[in-house]
Amino acid sequence: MSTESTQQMAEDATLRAEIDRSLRHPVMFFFTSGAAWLAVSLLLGIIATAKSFAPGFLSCVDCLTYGRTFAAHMNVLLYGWCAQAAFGTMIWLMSRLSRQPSQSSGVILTVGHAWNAVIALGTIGILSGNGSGQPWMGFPNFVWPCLIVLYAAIAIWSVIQFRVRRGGHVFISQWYILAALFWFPWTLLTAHVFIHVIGDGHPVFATAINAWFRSGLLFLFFTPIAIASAYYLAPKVTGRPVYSYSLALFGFWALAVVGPWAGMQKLYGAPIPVWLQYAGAGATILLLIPAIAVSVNILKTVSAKGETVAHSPSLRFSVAGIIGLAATALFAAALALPGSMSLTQFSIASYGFDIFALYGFFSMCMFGAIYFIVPRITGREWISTKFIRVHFWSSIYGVVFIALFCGLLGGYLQGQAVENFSEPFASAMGRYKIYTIGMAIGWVFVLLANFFFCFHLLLMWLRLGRRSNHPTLLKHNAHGQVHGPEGDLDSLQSPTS
Amino acid sequence: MTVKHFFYGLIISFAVPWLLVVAIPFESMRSLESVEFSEDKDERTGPYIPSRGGRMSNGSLIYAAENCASCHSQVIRPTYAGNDLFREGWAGASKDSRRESNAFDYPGEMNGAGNAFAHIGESRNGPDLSNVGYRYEGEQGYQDLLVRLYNPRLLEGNYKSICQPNPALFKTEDDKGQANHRDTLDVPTKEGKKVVPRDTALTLANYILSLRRDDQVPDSMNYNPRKGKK
Repeated sequence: MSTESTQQMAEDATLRAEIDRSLRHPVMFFFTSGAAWLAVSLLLGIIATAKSFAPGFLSCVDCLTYGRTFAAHMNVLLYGWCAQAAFGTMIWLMSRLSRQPSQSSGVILTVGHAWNAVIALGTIGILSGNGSGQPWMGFPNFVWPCLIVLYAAIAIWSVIQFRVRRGGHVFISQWYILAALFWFPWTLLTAHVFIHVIGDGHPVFATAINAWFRSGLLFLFFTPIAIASAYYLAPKVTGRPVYSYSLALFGFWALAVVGPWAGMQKLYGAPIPVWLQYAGAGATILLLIPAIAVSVNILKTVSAKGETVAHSPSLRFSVAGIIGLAATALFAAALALPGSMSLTQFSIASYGFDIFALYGFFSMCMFGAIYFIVPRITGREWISTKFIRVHFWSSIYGVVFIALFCGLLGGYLQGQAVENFSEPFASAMGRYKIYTIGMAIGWVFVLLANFFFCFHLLLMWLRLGRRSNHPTLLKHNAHGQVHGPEGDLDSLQSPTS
Repeated sequence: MTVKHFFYGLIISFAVPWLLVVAIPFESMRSLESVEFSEDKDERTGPYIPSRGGRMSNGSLIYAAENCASCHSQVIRPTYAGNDLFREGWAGASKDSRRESNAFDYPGEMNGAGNAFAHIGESRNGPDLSNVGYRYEGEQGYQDLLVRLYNPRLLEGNYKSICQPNPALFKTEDDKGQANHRDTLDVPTKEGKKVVPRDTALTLANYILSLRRDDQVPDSMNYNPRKGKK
């Protein structure tokens, strides 16, 4: 047995190394350019938040009015950072799970450059006063067909890899990636065709479709990618099987069945059919079911290995992200209750929710994936555990403060003041102003976190990481016995690879 | 679960809500049937035709590009969804004319690229603008609105406003001593300079003045709590 399995393990290791090598450039490109866009988005976010309590701030710069800055901040966050982090994770996971090295890295890399160029043009479009004014679809119209075509050119290779997969078994992560591959273009194409191509529908229903698209982008693209990453990392890093396969199956189909109904509760009280508003609210509340199924499953998988969660950066971020998933679903359900919709629909709670979902849940899972993937594709280990710690704690502190304290609490108080029609409107504005000051402070923490993250990632991209066979662990005296004596990775790997 | 079944499941679970929530309502709202006034209740007959004036369509393009909707809503929600009807000045010029928003209230509203899109709004960091036109009546109102767009805190009694200045919509030029045009802003400037609005500011101001959504609607779609109590 031993010789056969040893030979098998050696072959597996060679295959894995081959896959990692084949994807090094496109995946690193998506991660580093995504991280750079994240930094741009955070700067824009801080400017926008500062302008909400100090409207004169930078008012001499024409292109940085609040409206334009805010739109640029959200769109850069979504399509610059979130989408690219998702692409990088998606193509790497699909290759690894299909056990097929990528044959088309050059194409993906080229298309990735084009994607970045289009995002840059779109951002310039918004800041120069040519934005569309549609939330989450703020770029000028020419951007959307480009993004759809570029997405197809990135995603098609993952579908092909799945078709030619070795082994035949379909992993849980693969269900989620395949579903995301299928949901994202359908949602984006729907929004683009109905709003921009047909273009002459009912104005209010165009807005409703935009609301549905936002929910779709979050729950049917970013969410499945984040869950796929967590379902891969949790068993991989702890060395334990997924807690329950049937719970995973249930969680997946619950998301597939409930997710596409959500979104139109954003137009609560607007002149669209009332049942659509309540269907959206109901579905958003029901999203608690898949979110809790996934969270329980993953937390149960890692629960016996508390120490690993604490020490492995990728697992620590993923677990935080999965707790973030449950909290995101609770947050969404709280906002979708009819009683609270009238209060929070037009308040900073919606912005707080967007940030919590995109950063507190999705980005945390992506950071987890990045901390796992980057050492493998670059063949270098992370340089500083301090940087990772600062990144983790500042992120958590910043996003919880922004979203839960300022967004949720501030949003309810703001909504209450607006609903209290006997009070002058200025009192609502006063409440809003106070909480935006808090948000700005929160953003500074997130910016600090990402300064360390970007810098660290850049060093890794330049292949300045540690040449070590030891994984980076967040504990002192990490160079214990488990991984044997520390050695130079290149000299250790050369005979097998 | 085979891969084939997996994809059938995905397609069905997505296509059904897509049809019911997006495609079919889109098509049915694309051409709304007009609502008739009734002789008994409205004291007039004929179809309800929403009235809007001004350069509203190209004004809404600028409203979109400047992303005014990130802070201002344009919807008066029915009482099941909020108290908008009751807030002073939001739902109409007077207590008798106030009403909730209806599907006919957004003709010609566009996104920045000229596609039909209503600016329902993201938040109410600023007040609702459904009937903002009434807040700037007459010549003085027009001047005030331009000053407000230039820098909201220059308006008397408005120094606490957190609304953004929009210097990009205006230009500062040399004051050559001619009589001031009606559009010249009464704002403090450097010696020998004056601030005049660009076309974009005038179009946006016109759009804002056109936002008056309290015309009489047929009784069948009027839910004003005071209706009939004249």
